[in-house]
Amino acid sequence: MPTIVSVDDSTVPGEGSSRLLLLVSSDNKHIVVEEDIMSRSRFISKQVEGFEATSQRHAILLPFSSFVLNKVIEYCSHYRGYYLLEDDPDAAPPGRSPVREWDQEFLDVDRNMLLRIIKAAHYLEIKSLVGSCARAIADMIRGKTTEEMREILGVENDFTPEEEHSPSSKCTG
Amino acid sequence: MLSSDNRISYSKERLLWLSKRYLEMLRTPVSRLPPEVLERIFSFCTFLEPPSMREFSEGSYDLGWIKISHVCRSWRQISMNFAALWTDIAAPYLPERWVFEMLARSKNAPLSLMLYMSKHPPMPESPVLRHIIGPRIVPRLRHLKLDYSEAGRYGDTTIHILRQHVSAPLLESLSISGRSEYILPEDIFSSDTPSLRTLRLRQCLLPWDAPLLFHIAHLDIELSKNSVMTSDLGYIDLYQRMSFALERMSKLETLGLHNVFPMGDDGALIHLPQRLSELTLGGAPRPCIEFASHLVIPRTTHTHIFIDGSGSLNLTSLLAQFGGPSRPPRTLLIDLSLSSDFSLQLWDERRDRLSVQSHTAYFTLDVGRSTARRAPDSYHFGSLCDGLCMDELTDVFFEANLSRTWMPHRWLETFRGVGKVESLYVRGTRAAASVFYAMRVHRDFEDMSPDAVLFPSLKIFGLCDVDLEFMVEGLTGCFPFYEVLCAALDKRFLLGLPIKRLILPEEYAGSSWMKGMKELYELPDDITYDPHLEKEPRSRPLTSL
Repeated sequence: MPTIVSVDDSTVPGEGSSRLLLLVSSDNKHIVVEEDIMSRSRFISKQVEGFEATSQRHAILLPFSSFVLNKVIEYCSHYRGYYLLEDDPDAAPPGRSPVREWDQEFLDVDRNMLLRIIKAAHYLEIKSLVGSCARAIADMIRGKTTEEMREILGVENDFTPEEEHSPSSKCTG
Repeated sequence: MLSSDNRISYSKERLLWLSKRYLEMLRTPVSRLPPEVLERIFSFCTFLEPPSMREFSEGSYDLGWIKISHVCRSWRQISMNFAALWTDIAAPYLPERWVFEMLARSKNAPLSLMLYMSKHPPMPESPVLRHIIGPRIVPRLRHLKLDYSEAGRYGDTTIHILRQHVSAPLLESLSISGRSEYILPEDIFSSDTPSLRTLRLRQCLLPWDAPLLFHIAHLDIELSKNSVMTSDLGYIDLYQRMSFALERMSKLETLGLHNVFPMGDDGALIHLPQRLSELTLGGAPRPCIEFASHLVIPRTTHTHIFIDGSGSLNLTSLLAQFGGPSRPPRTLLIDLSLSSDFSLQLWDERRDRLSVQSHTAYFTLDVGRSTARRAPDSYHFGSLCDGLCMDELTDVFFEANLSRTWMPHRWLETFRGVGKVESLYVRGTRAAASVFYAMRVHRDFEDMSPDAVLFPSLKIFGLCDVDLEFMVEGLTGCFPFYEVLCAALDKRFLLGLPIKRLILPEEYAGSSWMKGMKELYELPDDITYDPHLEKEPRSRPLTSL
């Protein structure tokens, strides 16, 4: 989990009631964000707990671009202070997340961007965002043939011809 | 402690490594999704596209979401190993061999099962059924939906098999559609269903003293219109048994009874559990109202009463049930829309006014054309409102689809001066037209916040300091369109608001009076004429409000 480096105090502006975090994207962009906004992320919350234990200030390196990171921050900012059941660690495992109108608009992006967001959300452990992205992807492949699914999501058909036509692997007969 | 140079060097290496990894991920984005993310996507697919018996060609069925297992090796491996994907089994819509296959792939995960039993093949000889209701599957059931309404006596036999020493410890919801008010055995699942919270029964009954009823949170029973709850169904003292059971269901949160009203009561009141948040009663006027009059409904319960059937209906006694400060309901909905014909006496003017201390009131009257023609004006809501004291009312939902009769303005006057009314929802062509007409006549309505007025078929929305968007749709020729528009525009003038956007049905484009209106009211030039605006109001269920 090599995502943390110590930073100088001057790197993180301000300190007070609303603590700030420094997030560093894979394209080396430094983004300062209020801790409160990112508290929806279990990953970030755990990192912050770690900071408190060492009483050191840190930047958090993240393996995705600033563009994706900003989208995630936008999502977290929108739901700042909102209770979303899927993000409640004490709640039952998330089932079928409800479709939120704002999320649909927010996720109206191209395929690659959607996949990057879901990966980032998974990395950051934001279950509600993973759920919304998963729903959006499921909607994209709904009613499509196997071949169309491959095309839409850029998946390579790596079956051998024998495997592809093996009845044992299918719910058909 | 690392030196500054080392820290910077470490950071750079780290960034380089992350960048490489990121680029790799981009090359084949989906195949690099973590398995648990793919599982999440697949689980959405299961309900977006369920497999079915729909046959594309000979022997080839609609695979639905199962197609995902044919996309690539990793998807197949993940889907095959993710037991939860295979647990939602709608047996009636699947070939038998699929049912067995899904049961196998679901491993030991809890199951949601839908079963439909027909006469052919004769039940319970079906191998699928014998397997499902056997001791290996029943303990895994979380949700069971069983429909044997067409299975005849074979269905009854199956139900009896479920009694035999098979407990269902995980079962949370059970829905049974039976036949001809069949009475289920009281010891179904050996009466061992500790997790059961939701029970829905259609055309069948469970004895009111059945042990599994006492932990239920959601109970819904529906019998046919013509059923009569008498001792013919095998009960003695049915009213007392029902009363006894309802009073002891301490966890009951929602209760729906449709045509489940015992006759011949002894006059004793039934005190419904305090946790009850929603009560729905539906049925023919007389038994429904008689039964309701014996209920002591908690103050916090939302009560919906659906009157279904013909005959003489006197709402006075029903409303009296909710009268007085001791028994005010939180919500009272009286829906007469199911009535095929009626002779309705809404209010007896000789009585004192009835105080309904409710914060929300729903009035729904959806009258078919044939009935409405015969219904005199006095049956409408003006007279009902006359009978109600609505000092505490803050929200009014008024839904009326009156295509032939005239809507009196009296009911509107009822709301005038009711200081707390903040929102008034009106649905229906006539109603909308009538409201605007009334607004023109009675300027007192200017006191009401314009934001609070929503007309789904005659829309003003976005009413704020600078914007007024006004949309007209669904007006019939019975009420002159221009009068309605004038009324609305008058209101706009009074409010001193400019019209930013105006959307009208296409048929009004280019008419001469429209030209005059534009000059008179300084309407915007870019009026939108929408060919898709419906002439009739769009149907919208009340619940969506």
